[in-house]
Amino acid sequence: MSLYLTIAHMEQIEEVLDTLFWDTEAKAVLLAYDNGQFISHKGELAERDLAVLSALTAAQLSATLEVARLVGERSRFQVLQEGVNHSVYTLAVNEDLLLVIVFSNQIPLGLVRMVLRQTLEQLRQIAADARSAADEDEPEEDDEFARLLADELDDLFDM
Amino acid sequence: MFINPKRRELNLKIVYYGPARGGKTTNLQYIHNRADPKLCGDLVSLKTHEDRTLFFDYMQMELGKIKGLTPKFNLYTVPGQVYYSASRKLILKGADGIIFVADSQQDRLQANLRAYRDMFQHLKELRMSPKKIPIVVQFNKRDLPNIMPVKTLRAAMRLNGQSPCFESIAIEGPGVYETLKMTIGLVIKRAKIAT
Repeated sequence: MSLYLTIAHMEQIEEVLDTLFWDTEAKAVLLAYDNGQFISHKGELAERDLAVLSALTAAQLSATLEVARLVGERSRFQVLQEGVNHSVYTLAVNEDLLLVIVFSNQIPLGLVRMVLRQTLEQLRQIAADARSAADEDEPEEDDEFARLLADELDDLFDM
Repeated sequence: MFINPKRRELNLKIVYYGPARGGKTTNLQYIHNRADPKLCGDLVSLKTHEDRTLFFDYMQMELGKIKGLTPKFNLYTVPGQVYYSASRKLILKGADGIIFVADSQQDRLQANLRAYRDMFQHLKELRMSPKKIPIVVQFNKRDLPNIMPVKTLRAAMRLNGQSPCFESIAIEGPGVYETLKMTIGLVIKRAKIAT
């Protein structure tokens, strides 16, 4: 992963997700890495489901993009799942990030797409800033952290 | 690896790779059954009606705070069947560490070697350097009668003396935690973590 998200980046992301959430009257919005790691969310999602939802949607989007490649489709594929009351829209923000929005079927998809245009632009800008920060900052290794983690694992596994 | 500075979480992705029916899902099931439920999320399995892994198994496990950071381990398995090669590649993407679960039985040697080669090919295609990603090999099913000696398996897989390997009986537990702990330790050692 080439992004290094700082607290400032995370706050900007939260602000963008917050706007998307309210402007589309979404049930929930979620941002994750394309390898399935959760980043941030807003709305009605249980804390314990965030990791699983990120993993599943990332895999689903990856599979869809691979299908697109195999059939020679060049444009970015998106995944729209239509339920009885809600729909789930998953799309790639860039090569690193994916966005999931869960919205009521009473909200027209066109409106969601329109709001998303600005959201995607803002998220891509934050990602670009985070990428340049990653190039500049090289954190120092913390040996004590590794030792404490090993101790914690021993306790967990009762070794 | 992803450190979420707002939530103070350290996220790692560990992938169990290997031939079909080698014991990858069994590793995860054992960890899930034994770990403290408060620290362990649901085990999600996307499988066929024949109970084989179709896309992947997934679970998240976390530890208590260390120096203000909560470590969270995202554990995945890949489907082992030869024809799910494309799915395996997708799951490998962004892995911080890999556990290769080899089947120790004599008649599974070729399947092990095929899967091992397949893994390196995928890493190459994903532009992930095997030198930068810890790969720990687990020789599973050591309780069965028709197994090969570890020395022979290591030689067949061209593993040098430095390559970390563990013997295991995943269905009963021996070797399961040891393999995971070694992998996490190597990932943390290679990653630079600034707390």
